[in-house]
Amino acid sequence: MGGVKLFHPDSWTLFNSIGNLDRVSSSQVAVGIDQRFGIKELSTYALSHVFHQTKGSLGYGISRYGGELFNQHLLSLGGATTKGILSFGAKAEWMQTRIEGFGTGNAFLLSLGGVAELGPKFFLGSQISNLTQARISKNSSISLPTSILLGLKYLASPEVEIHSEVEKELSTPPLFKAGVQYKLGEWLLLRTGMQSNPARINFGLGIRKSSFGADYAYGQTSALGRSHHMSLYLEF
Amino acid sequence: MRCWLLAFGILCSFGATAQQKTISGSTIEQVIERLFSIQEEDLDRELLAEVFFELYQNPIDLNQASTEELLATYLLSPSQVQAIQAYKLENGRLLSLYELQAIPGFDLATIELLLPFLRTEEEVKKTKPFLTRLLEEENAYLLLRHRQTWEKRQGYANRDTSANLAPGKYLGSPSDFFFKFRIQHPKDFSLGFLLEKDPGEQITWNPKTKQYGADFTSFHFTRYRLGKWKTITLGDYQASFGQGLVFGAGYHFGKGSETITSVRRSSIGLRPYTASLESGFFRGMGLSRQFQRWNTSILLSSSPRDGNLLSTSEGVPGQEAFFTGFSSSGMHRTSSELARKHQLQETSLGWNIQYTPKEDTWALGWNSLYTQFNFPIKKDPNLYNTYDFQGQSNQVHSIYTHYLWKNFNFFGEWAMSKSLGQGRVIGWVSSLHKNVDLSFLWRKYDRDFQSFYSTAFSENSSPINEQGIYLGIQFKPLPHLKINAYFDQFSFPWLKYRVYAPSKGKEMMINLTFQPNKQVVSSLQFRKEQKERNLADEGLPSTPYHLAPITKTNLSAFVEIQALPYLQLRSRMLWNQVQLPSHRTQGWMMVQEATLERNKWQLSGRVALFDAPTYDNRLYAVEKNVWSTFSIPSFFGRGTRKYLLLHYKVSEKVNIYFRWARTSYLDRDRISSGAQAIDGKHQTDTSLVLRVYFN
Repeated sequence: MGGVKLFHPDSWTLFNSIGNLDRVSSSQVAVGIDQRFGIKELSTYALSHVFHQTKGSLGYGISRYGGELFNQHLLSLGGATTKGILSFGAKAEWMQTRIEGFGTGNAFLLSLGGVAELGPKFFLGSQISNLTQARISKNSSISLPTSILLGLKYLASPEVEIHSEVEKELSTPPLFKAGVQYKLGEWLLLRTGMQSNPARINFGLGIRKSSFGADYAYGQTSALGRSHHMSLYLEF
Repeated sequence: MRCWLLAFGILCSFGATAQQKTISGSTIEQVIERLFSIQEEDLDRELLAEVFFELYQNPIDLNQASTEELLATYLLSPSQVQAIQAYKLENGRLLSLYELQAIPGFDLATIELLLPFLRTEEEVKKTKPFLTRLLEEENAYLLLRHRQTWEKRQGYANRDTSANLAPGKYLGSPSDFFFKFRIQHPKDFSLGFLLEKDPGEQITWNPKTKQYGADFTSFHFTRYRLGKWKTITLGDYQASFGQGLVFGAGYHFGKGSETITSVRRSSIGLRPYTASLESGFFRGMGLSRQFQRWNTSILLSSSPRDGNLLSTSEGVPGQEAFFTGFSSSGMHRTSSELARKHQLQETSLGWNIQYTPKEDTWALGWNSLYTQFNFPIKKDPNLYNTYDFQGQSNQVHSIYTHYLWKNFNFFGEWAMSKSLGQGRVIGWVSSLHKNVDLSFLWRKYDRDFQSFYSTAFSENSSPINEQGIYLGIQFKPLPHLKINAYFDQFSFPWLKYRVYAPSKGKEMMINLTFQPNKQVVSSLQFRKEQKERNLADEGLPSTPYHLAPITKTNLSAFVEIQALPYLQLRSRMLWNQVQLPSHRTQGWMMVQEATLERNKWQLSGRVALFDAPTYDNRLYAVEKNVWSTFSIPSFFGRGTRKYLLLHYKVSEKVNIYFRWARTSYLDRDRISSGAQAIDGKHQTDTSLVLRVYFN
């Protein structure tokens, strides 16, 4: 869906949009892989697990990006709750960056997010990532990206969702993303979306069958090539 | 100027008291502006305007129309077409267009827009003999148009010493004459004849230059539904089958604020050519016949084209005369332009076979077109045109299909030209919900895909050397708010004119249309396009060209208010920014327009200011014009643009239109360049149209 993050009610929201964490319908665990431009060293592997309770939701997740020479591990722990029309949450992350020959850096990141139900058809979401402007390591002057994400979701019908988001990272121009999800029949989800810079178009499909789910997305980035994204879910 | 107005006033004072026969041509211009407006496009919209003009004169019968015919109007979204068809199945025929309000997905604003193009009346049976029908047809008119720029252009200078005119001088007068005769009845017949003389062209009888009176003459006679014959057309015509890779018929929409209906092309078939553009049509005979579920069409054509014939020294064996390329401007003002006129003869043979099953949910078709020229074409060799058409003959073949599955309408066409270059288009339009429509199109045109009559979806002006993905959406999140958006990502694998390396680009647009009530329409449009282009010459002759991305951003706001029953106000603001690697420039245009309607009079006036520092910042604004004339002039520099347009209904059958327009520049003393140059700050144009219905 063009990489829109804010409103997906699955356990990946722990990484993507912490304010949405309490909008998952049940506890679930998911594993996923992202493969970019046919280069093994640009892949991400991740796992996330969310416990959904009446008072709120809690989740943890772990992901690894990179290859032998450069890699990053991320450990996330977050929680969220819902009051009236507003869901909000916070998350703490520990990120380890390892560069062969340079050593290892550790960083602690804090993020906040929220999703508000403006009406039966409109949702507003926001997330502030890396609030503390943490650096890659104590000994480095390079900051990890701090970004603010703002978005709107329009629920045209129970079958059709339109998402749009603007993401501004401190050091890059704003990124516009939009996507559409269409539920075809009982268990098939079709998705498409775009992202402005670098320009990318995505197509995806998802399967939701009782407590099991799977998603696949294909991305076409004009200058760089193709990317593939897959994940599996189990609800309980 | 004053004498024109005076003469006009005298003419008008003889007005009779009769009801208006047709709505003024301005509705078409409004529809085109609303549906397809984009702030910056070099496309010639005249052909597209003509298409809607045709539809306007032959409204589609909602009760009779098939799904394909309704989609072919390009005005209805797939969900609206499906809703109409479902409603007809359930409730029988529609009695009035206002019954559309009962169908989900139609509001009054949409219906108002559609009104001129649709109808519901019962079709009259062809009981009378053809000649009687022809003579009694009400939709028969004569149109006379005169246009002129009153400031003298350089090309007209030194007319006194006409004995020895320089080759660059215009031979004719600066006036532009147009005459059209048309008589037609939907799904029965059409007969038309037109003559045109462009400014600077002569009216002479000179068989040597193949000119017999006016510079451009066009004629057609078409019969529809003659027994098993669906269409028989003689004279000038166009053809549209499949997605337009072989037969495109002027449906060159480009990308606009309409993001759904214009993505998929419909097989409209053979239609008479009625525009005054002097290329892009067939001249000869076209036949279309129905064999049960099969529809077969044959196209025969032999038409003259303009080109520069280079004859090598006679008698040298192995050396033959050849053309350096086509010229499609249709301008024959100077002796050198006249020397190119109709030098090339193009002979074409084409056909189409289409199968449509009874349930009308899919179709499969085959297109072929053979083209032969009397001399070969050899372009000046340049790296960027290496894969352009060369030679004496071409052929292009394609298969196409469309398939309706649930709420998804899939379509595709695959074509190959003689060069073995291929063109492919695949896409779908779908209604996910009554308020949400989505479109998708993927295209890949090889650098040597050569098709002369193609208008398939493309970023380039013709479908060659391009690959891309387009994604479009239209949705109505609130009852009065419509949002259209598209995103297009494309690349050009081979060099292009002014782009001397493979390049890529992207484009996005979002348009919000807000219509709080019947009296007010407003819209806000944002568009951003990034493409690569050769960097300006750095002054070092030996350095190779470098490409750099050029980013163009456009913003436009538009409000139309029916302030009083007889007074309509329109305001428009245009802004653009061009970002080059070294610097950025911004252009502005503010437009205010008012239209007053009183009894038999309609008066429109506009004042606009423009301030655009470079040609890249040029601004396009749709203007109201005299009947059957369409214009989107572009402006750059600093100055004002004004016009007055008067429409007077002399009687039920006689209408007069007069338009006076003036552009005044603050930043220059010379307008345009070369033979077109005007010494002065002002350019004044007038247009006068007389239209007479004679039944």
